Amino acid sequence: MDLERDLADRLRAGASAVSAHADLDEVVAGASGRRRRTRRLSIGGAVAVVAIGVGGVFLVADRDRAPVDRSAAAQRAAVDSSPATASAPAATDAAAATSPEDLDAVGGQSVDVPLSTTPASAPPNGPSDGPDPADEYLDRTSEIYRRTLPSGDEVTVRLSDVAYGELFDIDWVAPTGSAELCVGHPAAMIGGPDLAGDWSSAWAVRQWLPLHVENETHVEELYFGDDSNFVVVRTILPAVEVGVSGPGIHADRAAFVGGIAILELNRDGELTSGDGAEGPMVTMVTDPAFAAAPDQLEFSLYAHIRQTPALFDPACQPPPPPSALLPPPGAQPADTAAAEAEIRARHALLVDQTVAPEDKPEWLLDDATGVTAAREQMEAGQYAESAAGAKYTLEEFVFTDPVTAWFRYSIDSPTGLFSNRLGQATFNGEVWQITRQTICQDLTLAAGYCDGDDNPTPSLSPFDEAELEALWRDWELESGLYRRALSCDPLVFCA
Amino acid sequence: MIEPAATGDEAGPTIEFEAERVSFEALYADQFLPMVRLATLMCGRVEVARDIVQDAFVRLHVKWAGVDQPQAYLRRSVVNGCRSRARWERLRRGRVSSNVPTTQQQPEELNDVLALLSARQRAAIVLRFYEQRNEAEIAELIGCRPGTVGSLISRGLATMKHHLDAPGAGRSAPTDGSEPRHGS
Repeated sequence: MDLERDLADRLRAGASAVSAHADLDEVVAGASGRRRRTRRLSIGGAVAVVAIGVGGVFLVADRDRAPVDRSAAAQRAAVDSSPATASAPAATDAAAATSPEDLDAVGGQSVDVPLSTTPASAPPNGPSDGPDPADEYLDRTSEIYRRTLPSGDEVTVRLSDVAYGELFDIDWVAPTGSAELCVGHPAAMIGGPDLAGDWSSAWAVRQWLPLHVENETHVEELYFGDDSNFVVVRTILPAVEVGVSGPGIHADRAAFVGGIAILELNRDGELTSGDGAEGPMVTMVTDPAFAAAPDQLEFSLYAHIRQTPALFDPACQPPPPPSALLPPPGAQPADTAAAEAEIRARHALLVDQTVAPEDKPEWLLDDATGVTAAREQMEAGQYAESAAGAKYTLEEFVFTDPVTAWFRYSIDSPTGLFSNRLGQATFNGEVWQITRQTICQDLTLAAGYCDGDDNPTPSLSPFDEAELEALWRDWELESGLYRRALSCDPLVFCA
Repeated sequence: MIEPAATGDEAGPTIEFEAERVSFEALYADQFLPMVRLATLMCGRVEVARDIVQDAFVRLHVKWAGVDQPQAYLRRSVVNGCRSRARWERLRRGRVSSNVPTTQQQPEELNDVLALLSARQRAAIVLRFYEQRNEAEIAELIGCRPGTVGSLISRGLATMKHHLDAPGAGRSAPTDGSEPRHGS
């Protein structure tokens, strides 16, 4: 009881210390933008506006197989997709197609379904003439699931063979990688003959979003907006069925095929936003058999994300992160162009994988201590292949004094793109040399350590630790505002 | 038993649902700060809480004509927004290193201890001990059975007690809005 009283006192004390800037104009402007989007959805959309209520989505696992690892589970899901279909009467019309390599971490099953499945009829209220806006993207997708919902709507899921960001040319520079899942994974295109997406198309484009285990029997609750009428669930588990039920929602269940299932969110009665509900909340309940290995659970879903590539606003791009901030220029070398060219040439030689290290002049670096050992460590490690395929791009130079240059560069490797890296070069009176920290920070990426195994080389920055921390705080706050801006979908969902 | 919270700015938001319809502007003026405070307790960061509250007001503004109980709608939106935010924070922490205290680290403030709770536990704790709501109200707000609320609170309190009783645990108030940055 003392704890409860103490807790109440401290919560009140903490809350009373909070102040914030009210801005009613911001609210009104945001509401205006949302109304415009809602009108567009209404005009172009046949995706029903349904479902406020509480329900439960349940997952019935294959009890005969305990999950072992993700890859094995994915393989099993692929192998077992046919029996799953056969055992689930609610999804007898489900079919899947595509090659397994087209699936993003989900097992798939190839069947004879034509790849080109643009709905035959134009979507209600959609464009009656001319091509569907999605047509230009469809040839980069493969069908992975199809189901006729209880309402009669036929829904098809197609998976893009390129990342969402690449598909729509979204260049999101979040250095944390936190947007990777949103824009870095293959997009799903979801549509059907009687459906219309957000962009007056028969298709809607969605990202896959992960769900996490909340406790032993539930995975994370799902929130669906009031413009959702079905949910696509994806799992790498050897699961056979998923369902939704609960007050106000027509029960639905579907078999997993190739690790994917679609559930209809169909609510009784009219939409009543006046009950204070923001949207239906659905809980996934997993089979307790998975409790022993909760980290094996992974779902993805299609929800009501409002996104249309035509409306993606480049202004949503956040400012450059602190890791990309070069120092201000100072006194310049006599010939900056020549200096830059020399640095580029020396750096290119330094990172040239086709030239043996012993054939490279020692003076490429200002200090080569530990570099050879780190390189050998890297070449013996798990990232050797990735490092061998790395390509450097030097992007921008700043001379802070006549003998010191900073440059921003990126490394494109099979492992991924490492952007907004900063390097440094110094002039020793005769030649420009790349600094040891520049090369060592890159070797660290590939598990090569210039100062021993426990001493990864920190990334170069012209700012000290306190300055950098402050800059990161500011950047995160500002970029967070971009993410949360209502007009910046889909980044609002990229945490 | 906990005494009911006094109404007014110092003790938290008023909890009575509206007896009569007020204008949106009046509701905003009256509820903006209390909602930010509630959201701050739920999500730990003032700037994030403000975003959530502003978003909630935007949704309310859009649906204003059709909403019978604007204050209830607003509160539900804020609670949902905080939980949704927590979900994305957790997603993010799963992908990068986190500075949020773990069981291996000693939480130093109440806010740190709250951060150890699940989103639902935290929401239930805040709604119970800050807003003084009963289990039925909390269940409606966070969308679970009333019986689940008791479990959420008791488990949340047990977690908090364990950490607050630990030697060296700090006793300062939460919500300074200075949560550490997460990863890069």
